[in-house]
Amino acid sequence: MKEYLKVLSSLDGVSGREDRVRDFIADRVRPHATTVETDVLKNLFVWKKGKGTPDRPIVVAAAMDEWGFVAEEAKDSGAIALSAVDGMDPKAVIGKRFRVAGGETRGVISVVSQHLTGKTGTDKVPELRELALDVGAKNKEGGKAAVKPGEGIVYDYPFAEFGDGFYRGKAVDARLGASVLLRLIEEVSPALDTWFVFTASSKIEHRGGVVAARRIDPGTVLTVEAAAAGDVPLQKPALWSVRVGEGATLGLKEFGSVYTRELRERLARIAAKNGVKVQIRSGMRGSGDAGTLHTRASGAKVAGIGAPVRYVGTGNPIVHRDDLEALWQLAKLFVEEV
Amino acid sequence: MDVKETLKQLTNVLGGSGDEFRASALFADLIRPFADEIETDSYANVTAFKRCGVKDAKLVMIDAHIDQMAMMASEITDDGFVKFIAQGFDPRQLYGADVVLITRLGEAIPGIVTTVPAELQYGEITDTVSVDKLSIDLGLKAETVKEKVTVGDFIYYANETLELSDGALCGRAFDDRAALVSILFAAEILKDKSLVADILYSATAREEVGGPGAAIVAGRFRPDLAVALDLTQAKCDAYNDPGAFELGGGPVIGRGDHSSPAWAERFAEVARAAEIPYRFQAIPAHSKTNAGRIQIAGTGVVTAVLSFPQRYSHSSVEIVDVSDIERTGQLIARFALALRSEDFGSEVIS
Amino acid sequence: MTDIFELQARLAGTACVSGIEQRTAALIRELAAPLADEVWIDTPGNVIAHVRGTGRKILICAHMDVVGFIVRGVDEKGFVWLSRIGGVSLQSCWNRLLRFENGALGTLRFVSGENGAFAKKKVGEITEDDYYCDLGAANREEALAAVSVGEGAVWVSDRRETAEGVLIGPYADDQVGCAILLRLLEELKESGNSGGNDVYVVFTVREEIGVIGALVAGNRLLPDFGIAVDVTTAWDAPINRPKYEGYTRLGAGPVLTVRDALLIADRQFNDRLIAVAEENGIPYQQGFSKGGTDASSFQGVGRGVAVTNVSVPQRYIHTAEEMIARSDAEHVLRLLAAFLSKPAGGADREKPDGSDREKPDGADGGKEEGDIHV
Repeated sequence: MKEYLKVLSSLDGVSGREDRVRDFIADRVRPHATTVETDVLKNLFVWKKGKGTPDRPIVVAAAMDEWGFVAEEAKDSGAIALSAVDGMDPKAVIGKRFRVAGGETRGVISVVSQHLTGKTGTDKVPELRELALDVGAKNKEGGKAAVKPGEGIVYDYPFAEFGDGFYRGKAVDARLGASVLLRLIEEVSPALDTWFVFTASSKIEHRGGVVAARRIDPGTVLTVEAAAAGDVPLQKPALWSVRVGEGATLGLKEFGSVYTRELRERLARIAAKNGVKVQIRSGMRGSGDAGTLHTRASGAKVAGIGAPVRYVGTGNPIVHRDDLEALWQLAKLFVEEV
Repeated sequence: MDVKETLKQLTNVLGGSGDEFRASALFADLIRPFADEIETDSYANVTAFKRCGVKDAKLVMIDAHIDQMAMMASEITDDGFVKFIAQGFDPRQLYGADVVLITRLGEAIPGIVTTVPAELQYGEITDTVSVDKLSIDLGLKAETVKEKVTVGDFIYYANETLELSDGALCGRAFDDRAALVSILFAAEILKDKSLVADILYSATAREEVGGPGAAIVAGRFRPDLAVALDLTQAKCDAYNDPGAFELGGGPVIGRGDHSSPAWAERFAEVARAAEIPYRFQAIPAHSKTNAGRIQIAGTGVVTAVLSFPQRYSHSSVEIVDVSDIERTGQLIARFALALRSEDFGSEVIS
Repeated sequence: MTDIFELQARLAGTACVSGIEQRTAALIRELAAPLADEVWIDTPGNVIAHVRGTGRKILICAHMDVVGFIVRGVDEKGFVWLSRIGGVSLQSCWNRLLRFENGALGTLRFVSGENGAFAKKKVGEITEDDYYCDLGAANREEALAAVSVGEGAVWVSDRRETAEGVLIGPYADDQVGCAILLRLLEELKESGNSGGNDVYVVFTVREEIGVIGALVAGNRLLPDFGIAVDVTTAWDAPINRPKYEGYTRLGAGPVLTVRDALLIADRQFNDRLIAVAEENGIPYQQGFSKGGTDASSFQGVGRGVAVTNVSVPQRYIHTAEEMIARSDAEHVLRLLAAFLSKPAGGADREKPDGSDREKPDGADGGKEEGDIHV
């Protein structure tokens, strides 16, 4: 799984600007897929014929977009005003490096320390809309020359191995699901005809998912994504949600939707029968594509699987290779046996 | 001298207050072609002399500090996370930071400062998380961490120096390694020139914790003038105070308690003659540089403060302008060349 | 040999604030005189006891001054107005009995202010005009007969040792340090063995207001090694805000400071003390503190001094009922004695390039220290 995760996470594509990612995946899957299509919102629909035909369409979905910003105009100071992808944590971007999508132009976001200036306090960070990207320019012209409005801005932390069996780097969280899907398409023959959907703009109210649901009108949906783990001393154990090292995750619910118990239990049985480690993902206050995909059309059975990832939403999310392997095994079994 | 390359070299080596020896060894190597009597003392201060050969010559000390900000491991949790102290750091810079821990055996272990995903946070998302709640994830099993990491191990920001747009460089430890680059730049110019005074180039330790390094060197050698180089605040989007300086506007000459107005005027004269753009900075009270400790070393030393601006001091993404480093180096060299013995003496020192 | 807490009790009778240490100094000189080769008091008032040796010069110090108050004025009605000396914990002052240098007693009270203004103040907002001392004098003349302007005052409090070997009482900061050093001198005299080291035991003045005495002593003596024997906060009580939980604790042994507000301890020196502790079965802790000690003064003298603190963990520093454990004080003594029993030679300190550090097995040794690219 390492190579898949590495190659996909190294592509740049923030919400609404996933073109590079979509085009790369489309080229890779063409030899293995029956049909490959896109739509107005840049979703990618890959259909693979299976040994049999399901009563209602089966969808396996993952998002393509990553955390980051979209550049706005250069300010008088030379810094670039930014528009953040929804749900970013302003604390996580302070003092971090960023890069203009698809290029080598770099910038940083930072604050100036109180004890040196005697002015602003350190007990709060600025709101997201107050932050700007410092590209080293001294004035508006310098800023304009460096970054054009509308360009995506991604974290600048390259993929690497970390510690004892972890992978780290920008978009390791965001592209986790997509890397599993890509390998499924290349290596697995599905039992039944299956749609593999790479959604766009998942972080912007799941707009990609909304449209995708109506296009396919699925009966069964399985989403594959990073499961945010809070299992660090900073967080009380009751609120950890999932734990690194405990295997692939099975979601219970999300904001606005409860996942289909029957499907989750079936997945748990398959996992147990094949010795794949799984854990329940309890704390999901946010929302995933699953919710949209199963509610926006005629309604579908839905399950969400993932791997525990620490530091989601930052420039250095980390996932353990054993958990990622467990997720791959589980996804493969689902597609082969469903 | 390739200023960018030298700055990268000097900031790739790690040397926090109390742990400077690696950085000191590198600086000693870098100054070797330009000076003699190179010595590193037990506090990791590096001193190097360019003697003018004149008997009873005056001594001018040109100093920048070699240490950078560093954190220290304070405790290892049962799960193998490392808790740390970070005196002098802005806690907002530490959340999710990319760091590296140096073990007693010299192994560099990459680490990530913990964060909690937004969806699992309760409370105001803009509230800073204090250092005592943070810890460092090394990605290793708890037993491995307990074996390799000791209380007191130094921890640094991990960030290589990068080039940004418009002549700007970005990285850690520019305070005060960028000033050391200016000193090396000057030393190269002065290499074969003859001067009327002896020059002592010093890279002193522990400035960030009160400056005993500079006190030791000044107390030992009793210079007639000490020029302390440090970095000052630059204007940026996050900070637009009238007392801040634009990047790229040249060296900043200090005037005030630690920075003799007479010598400040001399620097300004030399800058005008050499057409180096400069600005003045008022230093009303403690300059927060080595000048403070040097001034009261021994029986007292005349000091001057020279700096250039940087954005985001004490973070991992400090930003300076290459031209400021070069111009400050040129100013130092021209100043040394223009020294006259009558500049020293009680009429001039005010 | 004299019990440490007994020595401390003797010193308590002479306790006074920074700048007014003369009585304590006189007592310590008297006690130290038979124990060292020479004992003298220097210009600022430090008591220096020298145990001669031909080896490395080691300076070990503890401070004689305690925190308290001095009289800054007496008003018409005979009430005494004070200034704080050192970081006195104001919260623990109210309604305390104070003892002045010449024996007068008074009670420390606060000024209520208009509409109970005082009650609304935060601790940091309290000024010298918010509290005063009442001697019970009828008027200014009577008050001035009992105290004079500039006279020092310390609090009066019982001293008690509990059955568990915990001492509760005032001035443990740093009279326990002074007591430990007097005992150390006794041990050195008794054993006749100070490892060949040239030992200066210095009882310093004015530590609480800026480590001044130590700076002068350090400049005169220019030692190779410096150890400050003081107290440090034990964080294991509810009074401390939870943020420091897990650091130093009462009863867990002497604290070797890794870093405090003014000092980064010399690592090789700390390592040697840890080795001595482990060889001799002495427990120890490693601490980070927000305070400072005499050790920080020695840093900038001469060619630079290897310094560290060896402290007794204490709860409720700078209050009238400080709490320390007998076992901790005795372990500090044992650690110092064990350290001094051998020559304090060690690696050449001129070139700290790390080459004397252990390399892991199998390392080719060719790696340059400066080559850490991250």
